[in-house]
Amino acid sequence: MTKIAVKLHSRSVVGAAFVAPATAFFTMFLLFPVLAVAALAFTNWNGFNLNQISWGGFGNFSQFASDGVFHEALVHTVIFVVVTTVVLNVVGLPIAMMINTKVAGHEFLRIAMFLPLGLSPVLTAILWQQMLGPYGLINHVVVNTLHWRSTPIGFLGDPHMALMTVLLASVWQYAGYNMLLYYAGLQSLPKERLEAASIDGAGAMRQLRYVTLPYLRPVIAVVVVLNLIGGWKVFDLVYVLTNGGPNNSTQMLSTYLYLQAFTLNRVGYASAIALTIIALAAVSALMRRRLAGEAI
Amino acid sequence: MSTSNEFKERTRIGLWRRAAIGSVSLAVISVAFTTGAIPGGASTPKGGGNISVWEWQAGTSYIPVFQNAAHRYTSQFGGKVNIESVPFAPYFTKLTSNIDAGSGVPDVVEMSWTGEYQTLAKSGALLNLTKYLKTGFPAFNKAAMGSLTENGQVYGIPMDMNTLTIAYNEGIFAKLGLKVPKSLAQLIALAAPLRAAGDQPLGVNEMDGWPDADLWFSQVAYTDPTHSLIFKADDGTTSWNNPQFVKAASNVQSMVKGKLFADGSPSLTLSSVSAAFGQGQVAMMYPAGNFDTSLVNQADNGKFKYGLFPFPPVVAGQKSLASGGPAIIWSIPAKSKNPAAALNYIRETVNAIGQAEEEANNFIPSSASFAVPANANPIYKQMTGFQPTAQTRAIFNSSVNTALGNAMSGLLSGTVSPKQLGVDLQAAASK
Repeated sequence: MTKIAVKLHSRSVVGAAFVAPATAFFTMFLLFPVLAVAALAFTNWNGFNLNQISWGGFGNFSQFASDGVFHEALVHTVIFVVVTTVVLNVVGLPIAMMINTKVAGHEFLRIAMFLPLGLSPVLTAILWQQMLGPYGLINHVVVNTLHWRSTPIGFLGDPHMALMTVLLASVWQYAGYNMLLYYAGLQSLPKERLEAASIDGAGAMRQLRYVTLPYLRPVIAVVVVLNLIGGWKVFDLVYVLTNGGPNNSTQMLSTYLYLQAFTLNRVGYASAIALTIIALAAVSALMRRRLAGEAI
Repeated sequence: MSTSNEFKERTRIGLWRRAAIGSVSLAVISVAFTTGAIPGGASTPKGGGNISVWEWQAGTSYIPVFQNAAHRYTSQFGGKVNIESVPFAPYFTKLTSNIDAGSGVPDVVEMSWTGEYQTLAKSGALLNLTKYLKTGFPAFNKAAMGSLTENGQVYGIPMDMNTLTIAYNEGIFAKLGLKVPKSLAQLIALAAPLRAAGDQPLGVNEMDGWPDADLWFSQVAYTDPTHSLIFKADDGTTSWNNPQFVKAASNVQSMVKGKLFADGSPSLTLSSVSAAFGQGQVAMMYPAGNFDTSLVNQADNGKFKYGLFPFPPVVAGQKSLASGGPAIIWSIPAKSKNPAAALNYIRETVNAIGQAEEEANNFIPSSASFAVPANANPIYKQMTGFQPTAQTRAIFNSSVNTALGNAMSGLLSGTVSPKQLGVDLQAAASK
């Protein structure tokens, strides 16, 4: 063996040693659970006794067709994903641009927007519950102080309003996240480009359309994909705020998965739902390169 | 010469072998004596030794009850009781994983009163306790035992009982001249004067899910005079879509139509409805039971007075019936290494001393012969007074149980009819 070959060999061993911990972690805590879920989705199992596991084929997936609650959960999750992704970006980007222009109060705005992100979703849900509950702060003001209504507004208890309330709470919590990422992207936008556009006679809107947005396109792609993935797997906020109710009006795929796995002990069916969420999140992740304008 | 040497050598080996066998036998006998496998042979009394107990009651008044039972067990039988509070969410996953693996299996486990109990019992994971109940245990409340009987066999021991009733604010009732209703129509009729006075009628923590089903159970207590249809439907010997079950849902629907339930009930949790009741924002709350009297008291430091009554019968003059069932249920995993000791610990939680401790903490002992002390607080006296009338609130089939929760949630929001509820339950049972 030549010296070069020995050196290359030792370098590859060292490289493998560096990669090994991450590979082991990835295999144990990501790859194996995903493969286990994929395998369990094709079984009938109550989660208790491994001796009672049985092959179910595509039975769990074909059951989706006749499961009305699954349909509702899927529709609510799609609505949640689409609305939060659109609103978070429509709110986050302009606010980031406002802060970037250093308008009066921009520091306060930045902190105010970012603050909710420091709270856990469970705490956020409890706060919103306290405010919007039938005997919470807002209803107390509406009913007892202002006498606008004789009965409380069913922010969380009315099936027609509950999903809207969940969306509102989610947007409140995560708008600062988008704002922060866009702000970081705007910080790296070279001033020369905007100055050159300005000298060429481009107004604010043209600068935005032809300079800022194209420059931010990779950032937008990442932010949108993160929002999409976050939306597909939303759980904690919904679980605490409404527990999927009333009457399944805020049931999401993830809360329905929890119900199937840990209340009904239908691990096979719950795994099929989990696989659906993983597939939807994977498709969203694959969209990133297309959104960023990169070749796929 | 060689024969003599061979003989000596054989004798030497034989002696060594006998000595080895003797030592091993002695060791086995010693172990058997000390572990109690040979009755009367151990220094520890039979049924003693270290055991572990799993429960999910962290932070509640149940913990001192469990711990004191452990002290009594230790002083009487020897050995320690390791009580471990496992959060409810991963409880059954952790328990079944340990049972499957055969390691870390606790000797005594708190058990759920619905699906998991039946699943574990059927899979052989729980010890059949039927024959053991004949020795050293009090006679238990019939309804409680009915809830825990699976194909004639019992796998759980009820430590105490839940009795679900309606709590009412005596101050608001007195102010408006309202009386405790004697019939369903009178109960529904309370809504109008309460609302007219700016008070919300009956708060129900619908967001928690389970009270929706309990509203139905409260009515089945009346619509099924045999008090056996739920057990039969669970066994598959009658349909879930029978008229008595549909009628129970119709009764609840009449409450919805009569605007009996407080606005916002779908988004109330147990703590928020207790707070609303304690602060006088709702005139009544359901379900009131041993699990939330302390919450109500905390809500307003017990300043206001309240009383209890079960859902009244459809026709005035009939006997009032509460719903209820076992609260803390003890089971012993079949893989417990010390079932005799586990039984002794459970006996300590349900014997006369155990019952007195439960009473001191506002829990209702499940012993059929439990007598309420004369100096018990009035609410406790009312609760225990209704306890013998308590009808089951348990469905073993977890699919049906969940379907009931969903259908009742739909019924309360006006999207599911009583007839549809029956159809949904039967469909869930057929899955």
